[in-house]
Amino acid sequence: MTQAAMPKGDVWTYDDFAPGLALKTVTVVLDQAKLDLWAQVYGSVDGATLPQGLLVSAMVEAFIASGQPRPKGNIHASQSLRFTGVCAALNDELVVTASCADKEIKKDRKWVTIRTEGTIGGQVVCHGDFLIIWKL
Amino acid sequence: MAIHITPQTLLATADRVALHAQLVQDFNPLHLDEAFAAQTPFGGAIVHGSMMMNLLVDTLERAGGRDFAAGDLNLRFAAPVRVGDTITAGGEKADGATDYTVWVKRGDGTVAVSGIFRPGGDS
Repeated sequence: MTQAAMPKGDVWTYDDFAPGLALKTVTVVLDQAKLDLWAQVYGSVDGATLPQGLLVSAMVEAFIASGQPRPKGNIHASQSLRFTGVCAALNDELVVTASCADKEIKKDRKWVTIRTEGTIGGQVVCHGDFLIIWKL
Repeated sequence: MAIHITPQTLLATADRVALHAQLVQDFNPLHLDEAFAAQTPFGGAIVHGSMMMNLLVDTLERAGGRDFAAGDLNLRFAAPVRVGDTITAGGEKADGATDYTVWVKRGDGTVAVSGIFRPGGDS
């Protein structure tokens, strides 16, 4: 785990972010418990490879964990994700780096872009930007 | 020839939303706490954007398998969906087009998520 920036106060606020700021690197294990949860929400899983959506879930989990605690009521406004075509397998460890790519205030709303990249065994499997309307 | 992705629908019950929250470890009260969410402009708990994104990615994968394993997905969360509503994900590709137009709709047909998927390997 890398030494990551921390918020100045009790929660991450808009003022804590700066483009280029590295957040916490998070490892998510794509284990049977997660696959079981996935199946409870989205239905049965077929095939030898893990569902692509489980990879997306793990990217979201890592994004959430990369900067905690955060204010209540943030809004997910848009999302980009690039899938490289690398398959994930059960019990793979997805290592996700996250950083602030941009921030701006528009119409009194605080917009923060968090850039993420997920790798398995050193290979990039997925990367993308979370655009969030930050509450504080 | 135009291609239509077979849609998938989920009923976004409070229980299912809570399970999704556990899956992605996102316990934002906007999605889970009616009393908190009632005080926001949404007026009540809303479905996670990531839940709609998951359903959409799963819909693409179930429709096209490994054809959707590589590519770029760009989504805008256009309208909130209240917990208890249905979400339906789908998409289509026009004849001769490269990109798929993808969407998630609420029970009343309003587009909650809009975007594109461009298939292809890393460039």
